[in-house]
Amino acid sequence: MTTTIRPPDETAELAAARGGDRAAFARLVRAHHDQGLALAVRLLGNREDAEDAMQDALIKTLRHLHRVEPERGFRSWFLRIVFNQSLDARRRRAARTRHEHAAPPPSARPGDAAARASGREGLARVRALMASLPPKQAAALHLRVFEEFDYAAIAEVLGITPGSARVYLVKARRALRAQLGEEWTP
Amino acid sequence: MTRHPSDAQLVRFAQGEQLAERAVEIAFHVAGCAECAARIHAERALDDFVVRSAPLVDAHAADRALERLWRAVDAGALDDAGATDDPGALDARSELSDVGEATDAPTRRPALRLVTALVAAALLLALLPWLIDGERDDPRAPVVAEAPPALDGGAHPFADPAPEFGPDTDLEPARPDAAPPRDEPGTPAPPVDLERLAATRARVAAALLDVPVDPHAPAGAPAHPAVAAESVSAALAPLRAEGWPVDAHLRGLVLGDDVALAERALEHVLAVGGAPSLLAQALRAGVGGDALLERLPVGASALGDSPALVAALAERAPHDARARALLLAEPGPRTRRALDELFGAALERARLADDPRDADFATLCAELPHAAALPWLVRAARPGDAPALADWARARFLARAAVAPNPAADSLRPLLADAPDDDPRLEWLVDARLDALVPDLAQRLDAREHAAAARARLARLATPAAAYALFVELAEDQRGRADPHALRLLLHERPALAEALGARAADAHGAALSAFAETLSDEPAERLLLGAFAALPVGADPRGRRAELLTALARLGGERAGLALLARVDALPADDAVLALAWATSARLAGDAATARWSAQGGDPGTLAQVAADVGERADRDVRPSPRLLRPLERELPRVVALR
Repeated sequence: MTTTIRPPDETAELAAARGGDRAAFARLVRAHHDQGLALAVRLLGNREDAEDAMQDALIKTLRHLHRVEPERGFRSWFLRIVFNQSLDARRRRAARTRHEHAAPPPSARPGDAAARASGREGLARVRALMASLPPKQAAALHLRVFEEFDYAAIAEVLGITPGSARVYLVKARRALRAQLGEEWTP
Repeated sequence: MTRHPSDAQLVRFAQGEQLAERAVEIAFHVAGCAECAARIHAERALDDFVVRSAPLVDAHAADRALERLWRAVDAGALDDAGATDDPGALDARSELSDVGEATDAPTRRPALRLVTALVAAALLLALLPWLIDGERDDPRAPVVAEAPPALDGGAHPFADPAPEFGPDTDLEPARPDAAPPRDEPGTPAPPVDLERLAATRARVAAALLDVPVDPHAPAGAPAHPAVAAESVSAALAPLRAEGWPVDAHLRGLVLGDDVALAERALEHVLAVGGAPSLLAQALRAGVGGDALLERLPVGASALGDSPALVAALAERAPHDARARALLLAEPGPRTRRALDELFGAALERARLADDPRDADFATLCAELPHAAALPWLVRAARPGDAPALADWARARFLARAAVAPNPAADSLRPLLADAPDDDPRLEWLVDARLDALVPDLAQRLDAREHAAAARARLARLATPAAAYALFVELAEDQRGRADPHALRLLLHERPALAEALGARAADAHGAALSAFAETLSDEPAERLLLGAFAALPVGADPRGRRAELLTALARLGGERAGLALLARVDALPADDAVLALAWATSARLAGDAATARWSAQGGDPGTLAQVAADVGERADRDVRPSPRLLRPLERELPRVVALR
């Protein structure tokens, strides 16, 4: 159960951070920053946008630190902020780059051995497909597969029920299978 | 079935060695197979695909983020009293963002915006005589007005309700003609404190200059936009709370003479979403340079809704790809007009030079998506005046049509309706095999002056799909206007199409098929119908397709058709077998063979001949034989079948 795994002194750190202890706040953030950045990258598809979203998330985290419920843990609350900031960034970017998607996205056609043989191209394609999933699906998939969150923890980050988290995960996998299956299934 | 990667492959992947092709499959398993994902995850070194491993890539990402955060805090960014965002929830618009769509449209209600605009206009008119600041002499600078504090000492009723301005908060001064009369009750003409005016301007400027500088950014670059926005918003919040329209000051600063201050002010405007008219003015004034264009909200409705911004971009578009991209990203009527003018001018220059490269027309076309470029290529290939340009356009058109056949068809459709037969561009639909245009082309068969050319094009165009479309056009939907000559020409030119058409004809309506058969009496048509017949399933035929095909074949009356029918009799259900035998007997040259077969199987030749005559006579009148007509044969059928 990843939801309950918290540093034993997190509550104390939280109290200290609320009291203005920057070092305590930094320790809290450092413990989960990489997870947050990974989630943001997954949702936004590139490091630059993700770091921007993380910066916004940190400001909000500090500003609203008093709202953390210690019994529910800092991580879920923090990641939820990251998730929301990433969504906002994604929405802004979608408007900014709408014209770039007029052409069909690059895809390795079934049977295109050259494309398949290029590992990096393939990975880029997988990443692009994951980034193009609806945000909650992408986030659910990321949190489950890479962070090994259980459904309850995913639900807490995304602000949904565990059942919905399971549904999002199934949909995400189904979508990826639909797009990748023909290319890589023998 | 998916394949699981081997341990060696996992290790190779996990160790960050050169990614092999199998790594792609592993990546797939990450998405689809929890077992593989767990195995990969256990290795903990997942290259850049698993971005969780950020420390492997950049061990200082968190430190840098925290450093920026503390700078913002020290600059007072988090002291902004107007910040009420709930970290645990998306902003209201984000509820729509599950599909990743942009929803940057204005969210304020139109009525509220209208009231705000009217109030601002009234205020501006009332204060106009006093509120001209020092930048008035600058022709680029707008008239800047300040709102007075509320008379009752509280928050000013005209204070900007938004903590910061976004796309829906344009900084354009309200039009004086939209304001109510100055002496209208409820519109006070308060005194103006010029000292306070200057002090406010100074405070806005100070707030902008106090924005922290990012030490990791290029020299002189401002801090992270979010930090800058927070910082400036925090500095401006008290002013807003007192009812002073600090946005107007920002406008004045952006368009002012202090370059550094102007860029800072512009940075803030962009960071909080941008005000289109101000951005347009900044573009024209050269404030912010290319960076401003890079940060304009591409695709945001604010851009297309702002005539000023569209006009400013249009001015730059001939020599600025980014400006063109911004215009292209906005599908509104204003941007479309601007692009039409841009492309129209480039095309005219290219036509005069008879070289697309001389006038950058080629560059412009290359930037357009297929659907948008094709009509311009069609126009560029207008016959007569610029043959080299026409050749170039034709080649580009065909290349793009291969990628986007439907937009290509759309772009040629108007041409097809109006162009004379000798317009060489009409041949493009043949060269490009634009099946979607076949029905349009077929319609020209009805026009006497276009019929011959249309028939020739149809014959050359006909891919199987196009031939089927033609079949539908000529036989199914326009039975009375079927053009036998066109169909014969089609099948003579492309005999192999008969089989393809036949396979599809099995799905066609029976009456249409009969009409089609009526137009054909030669070998290709015979092959077509037999192909259709062979494509029918042998079992149940509730829609009567088999009988329809048999009728059509009977009309052909050829020996080959009759013999073909006989060859299939044994495979048909009993009632269809009887009908097929009767029709084969009625066929001109297959009657003897049918009779011999019937006799050999114990049937009475006389009965068969009688029925066949009746069936043939009805087929000639396009009437299906009734069950009563076939009954004599059916009575003999058990005996015949028993002899099989």
